[in-house]
Amino acid sequence: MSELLDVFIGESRENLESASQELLEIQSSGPAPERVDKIFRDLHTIKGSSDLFDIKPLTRLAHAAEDLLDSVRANEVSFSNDIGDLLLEALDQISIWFDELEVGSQDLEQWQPISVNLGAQLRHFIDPDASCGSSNENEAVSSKESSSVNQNLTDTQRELLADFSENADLKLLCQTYGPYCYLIQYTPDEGCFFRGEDPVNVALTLPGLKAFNIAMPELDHDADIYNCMTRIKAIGCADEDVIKQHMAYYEGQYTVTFFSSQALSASCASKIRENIAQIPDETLTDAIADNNLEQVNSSAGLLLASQDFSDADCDDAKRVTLQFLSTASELDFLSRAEPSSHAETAESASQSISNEAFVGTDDKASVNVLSNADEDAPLKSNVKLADISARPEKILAPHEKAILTQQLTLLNSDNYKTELMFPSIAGLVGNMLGETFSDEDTLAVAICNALDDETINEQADEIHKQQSTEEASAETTQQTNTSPSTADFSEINTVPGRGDSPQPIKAERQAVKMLKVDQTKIDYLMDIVGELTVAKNSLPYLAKQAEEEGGSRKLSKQIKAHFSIVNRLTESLQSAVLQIRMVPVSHVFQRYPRLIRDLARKLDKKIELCMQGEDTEFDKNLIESLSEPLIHLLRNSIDHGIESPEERIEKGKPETGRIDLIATPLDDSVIIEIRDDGKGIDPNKIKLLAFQKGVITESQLESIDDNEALQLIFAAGFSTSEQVSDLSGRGVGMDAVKTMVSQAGGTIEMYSEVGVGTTFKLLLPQTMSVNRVMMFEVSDQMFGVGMDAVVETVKVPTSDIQRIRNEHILVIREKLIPVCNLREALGFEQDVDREEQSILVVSTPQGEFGLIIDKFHEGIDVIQKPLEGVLAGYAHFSGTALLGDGRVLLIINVQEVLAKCR
Amino acid sequence: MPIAFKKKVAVMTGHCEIEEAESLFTWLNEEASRQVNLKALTSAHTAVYQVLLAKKPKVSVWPESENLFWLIKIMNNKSNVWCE
Repeated sequence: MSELLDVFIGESRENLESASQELLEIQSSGPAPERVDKIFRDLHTIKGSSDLFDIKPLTRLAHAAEDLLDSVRANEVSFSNDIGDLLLEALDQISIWFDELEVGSQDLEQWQPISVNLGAQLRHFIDPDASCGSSNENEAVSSKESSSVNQNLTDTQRELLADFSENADLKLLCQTYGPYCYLIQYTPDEGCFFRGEDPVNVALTLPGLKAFNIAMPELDHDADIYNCMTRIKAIGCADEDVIKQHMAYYEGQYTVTFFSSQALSASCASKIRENIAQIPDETLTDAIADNNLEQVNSSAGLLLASQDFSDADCDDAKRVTLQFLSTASELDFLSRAEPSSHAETAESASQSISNEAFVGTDDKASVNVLSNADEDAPLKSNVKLADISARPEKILAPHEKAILTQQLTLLNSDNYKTELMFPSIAGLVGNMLGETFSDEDTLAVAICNALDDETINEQADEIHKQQSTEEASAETTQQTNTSPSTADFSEINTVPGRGDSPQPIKAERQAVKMLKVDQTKIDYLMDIVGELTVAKNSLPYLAKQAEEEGGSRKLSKQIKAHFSIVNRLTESLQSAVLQIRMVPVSHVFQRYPRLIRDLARKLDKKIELCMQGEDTEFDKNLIESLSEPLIHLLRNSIDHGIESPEERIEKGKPETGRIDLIATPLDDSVIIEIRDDGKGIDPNKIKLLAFQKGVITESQLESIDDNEALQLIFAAGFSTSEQVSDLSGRGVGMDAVKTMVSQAGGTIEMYSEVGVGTTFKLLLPQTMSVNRVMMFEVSDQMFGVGMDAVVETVKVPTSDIQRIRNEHILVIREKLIPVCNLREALGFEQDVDREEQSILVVSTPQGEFGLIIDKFHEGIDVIQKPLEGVLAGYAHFSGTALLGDGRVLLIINVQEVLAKCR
Repeated sequence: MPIAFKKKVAVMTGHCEIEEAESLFTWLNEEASRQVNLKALTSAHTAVYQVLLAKKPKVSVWPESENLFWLIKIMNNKSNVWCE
């Protein structure tokens, strides 16, 4: 996947999210112009950027949605929930496509119908009638494409062409290449300039553009020239896809119709025949009769060059016909339709074109066709023979003379191209002479002999030489001519050049305010800062060493002074980097209103989500790891917590259930609470189930209190999906939630009261990269424990530690604290009896505990690294950290150690 | 400036942006006899073309740029322009 696509998807997802956010807001609190505006802009951005890639269905869908919003914005369409739902559906579809794009599994063929369907539905809101029409039209176009596109022009198409200009069909035919032609009517919106559109230039760059016209009303003195009044019609040759792609931004502002060039030629056939009939040139008619393409091309070309079109009305048509014949690459279509022997009126003639059964012309023309033109000769060669023998004149007619004279001029003209023109001239002359003189064969042989290949080539060479010398001289003269003129030009150009220079500045004025950075780069920066923190920690050691070994107190002092500076800088650097990684929790929260709305609708419940503290900041990594468990918890609340409206009314609760999602910063942590006012969880049921599942023993079943029982839902092996229904509470993978939360370095607690509701409380560290740990010493080795866990440090006489049954207990401030000897727990040798013991009091979810250690050390910032490799199995260490002097600090996992202790 | 307004003639050069349309329109409205010199005009925004086509001012010099052949035709009241 390309980097650009990555960026596009990333940005567009943000746009999608904010758009659906706004949509939900609108649905709940009614349409507000600025919200519609916001959604419009979001979709506009998606549409705009999507055009960079070959994902037309997506672009089109986004465009349709954007158009609908534009109409809503302009108050042309009033916002309804149906519109909102449909827009959300469109956003979902786009999001699904993004997923596919991301993994590269997109199938545009499959996208297409979805896009067309959704797009049509969206457009239906804009204009119910027009959208029906246009969708039909689209269907018509596509069906035409498959079946009848090769056949004929529809009446509408013919009308449109006729409307475009007289003989537009013929003219277009002259210039046609490629199989398809289009006729587009582009009527830009009045306000299109404000969207940065430039209709004329769009039309001018239409692919395969052949002709266009621009209709412009007269403007009053006080007219608003920033209203677009231009209407453009254009015809050209290009495939449907290409045109649609070109006009993708302007959907809804244009109508286009496509037809095949074959259909065009078929419908022009009669016109061409008519015109040929009026051109009194036998060479041409004969050539057409013989279906001799080369001959037709050349003689039509000659006629075109020689004919002087100054008199009659249908000159234009004739000229175009000749033009067409001079370049035509096939003439079969002329003979395909059989000439009608019946006299038909002009009207029925045009009808008959569409039937293609026969082509009618008015009687005079058809007589002319038969007697003079003979274009159907391949089928009727005997007619042709009869015709020739019946020809009255045996002397050169005036026009024949004229033509022969023209040949002479042509032969001498500059544009003369031997290979192309000579055969036709020869043929023409030959035919003329042949008709005038009865002895055709001898004449033809004589002419052919006279002008055999050699002579032709010689002539060609000569002409070539002549031309090249001419060109050379022309070039030199041109050069001399151009030198002053280029000077003129440069003068002209430099003037605007100076004037133009402010333009790039204008373009740059929208300076980038936000910088998007690859997250791995930030992570790398974070790592380095972490290393720096560790490296900085070595300075105090150095100072100590300088004092002890070097004996220089002064040096030690200086190092310490420097350390404080480095320390300060590192800390601000660290917090700066951490700040970069901080994002408000709304980043995750904003997805939930949608989730809740959808789920609530599905379950026929009424639920209101109240969010608080969305701007609480959080480490990006953490937030992302949080998203899943939070969804899980919310889903449980909706599914099992909140009762159905009837049930709620029965219980005397408000009909609409309420879920609170609250984020509160607490020191370096964040508390996230999910509170619902549903039916709560019955601890007795949990107890029983846990017992049945073998999570707790019989004795525990009796001793366990309600709060402990509730926490059992987090126990591994407690929940499976079947329980959900009979438990009437939560239970889907709560252990998974707990695992995810503790992986993020957090804890989860749950409170519930039957009939009142349930609260989940997640306590999460704000950042996960730097931890403050307290160092201590056991058996000459350094260990660390997370500073959050430390409650206090005390030194007590050994005698104060009492023994109750098989547990050591210490009483601090009238509080019983179980004590665990770390030497024992970590497998060190027992210490000789001491008079005084150092106790580190730590808090755990099970309450406070005392750890007997040897010596306290200072607190330190470390970057905790997880245990890897062979050490990964040791659960009583949660990780390691590197100390300033290079030693490795093992950080103990208090809960695991305590479990061993007991 | 892409458009230099002289006494009687507005000289348009290079590409005329949409912003020029208004000043051109007002300037042409001030006096009916005013002309435009399109010699060095290469392209323009639709809004500018719109002013030219709607006002059809007298053109003192037609554009040299081949891209604007159509403008010449349309301003000379040829409704259809065929690309050769």
